Amino acid sequence: MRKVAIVSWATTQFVKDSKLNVFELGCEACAKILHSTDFDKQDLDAVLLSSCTTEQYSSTIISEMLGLSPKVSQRVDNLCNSGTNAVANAYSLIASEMCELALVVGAEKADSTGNKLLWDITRGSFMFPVHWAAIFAKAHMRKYGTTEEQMAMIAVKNRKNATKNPNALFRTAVTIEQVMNSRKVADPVKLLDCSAPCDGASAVLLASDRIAGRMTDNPVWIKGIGQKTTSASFANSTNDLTTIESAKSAARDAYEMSHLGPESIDVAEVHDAFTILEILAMEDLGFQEKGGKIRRNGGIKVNPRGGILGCGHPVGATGVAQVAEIASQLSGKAGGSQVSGCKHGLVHNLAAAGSSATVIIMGR
Amino acid sequence: MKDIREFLESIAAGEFKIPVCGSCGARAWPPSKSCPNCYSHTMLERIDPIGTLIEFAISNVRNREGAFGVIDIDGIKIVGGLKTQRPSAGMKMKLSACGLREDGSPFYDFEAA
Repeated sequence: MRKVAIVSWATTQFVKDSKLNVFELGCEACAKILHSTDFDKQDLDAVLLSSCTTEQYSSTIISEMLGLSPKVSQRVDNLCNSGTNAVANAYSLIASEMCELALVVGAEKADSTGNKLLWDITRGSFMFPVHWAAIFAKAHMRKYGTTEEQMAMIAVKNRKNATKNPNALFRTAVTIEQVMNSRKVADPVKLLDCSAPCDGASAVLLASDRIAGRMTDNPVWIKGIGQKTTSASFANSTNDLTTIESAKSAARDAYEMSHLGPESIDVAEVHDAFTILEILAMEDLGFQEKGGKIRRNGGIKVNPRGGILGCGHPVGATGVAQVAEIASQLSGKAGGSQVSGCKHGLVHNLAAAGSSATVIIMGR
Repeated sequence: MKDIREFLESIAAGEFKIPVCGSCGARAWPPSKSCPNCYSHTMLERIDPIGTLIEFAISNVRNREGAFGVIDIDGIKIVGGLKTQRPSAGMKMKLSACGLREDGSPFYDFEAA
């Protein structure tokens, strides 16, 4: 099995309305990679689009718009978990030696159909993501005494981090008081506990160890990947509302594959579509004990780009942007949000109510 | 169950029925015409719609205001509106009403049992 590296990446600015369609958004991120990376585009074997768009043949349309004729052109759709699923697919294509060089692009519009799962009628009238987030939050508060202030601190931290990220949707910090006083959408989840859908795209270029050195002196290696799908519905996603079982399973597999543990991770991008999800992620990934205090300083750095709360949530682009961020951090190119001396990074990406999860561990 | 419309028609009529496998007896939830265990056909069957409130929260989403929660009815988990003054986790609840909203999506309401 070949080793696989991330050799280039690019993310567009995330905005409420870019006026671009999903193809134009995707091409914008890809063009940055094609301009900045030294390779012959005839050598690009695969183009994988991560998106919940209803547009048909979309990866192939993007390929043609970019003047590419890859062997493999496919769209990957798994709601908010699409981006890392596409990266995992690209990894598999290269590791298995079917391909040498694969471009993964995530692109989404703010009004994506991926924002709401209509199929899951077990939720009756309460089918919005904020409804299951509120249930997870209440369950965690009941069992572990987690407070609304602790959830608010996640929003404060990630919004502060986003002020250093030129691509973030939200570039203004918020205070705990602002979060606590924001409108209760589904009590105890408030408006500023929630991420916002937006337009955005992100792309990463994956290469085999045979050719990665031609494109960069500083490849970031994919060390381990874990994935788990427990269900599509909220009803069957987890038996314990204080944990995301798919994430625990995916993390276990990723740690095993990488021969690394949570203590080795220096920087992480975790799926904070709601503040409670970052708390659950910290526990499910083994970064802190169940019901442990939220770390504010020291230890692992989490969501230095601003996370989903700060950057916005273009559903299919999110997982790719998370991978791009960790690649950027590990190669020392994260600018104002750089975590100094980081050697290993982790991406944690979820779909609807944690019904599926992906964990990717990367290293220098 | 012929298809999902049969389940929704039942809900629209105010009757809460669950698809049950005609072969192995497993329940299909979320509702499905085929059994997730042995892939045989399912048939809608009445169940005693009494369960336990696992967790609840308060929705302020427009047109979806009010208390809601996850109710476990003998292993079937369902999210419904709570038509009771003081819901609490562990409370016994029974389905008091179900139907379809204007947009065609189902609703399930529960009250204290």
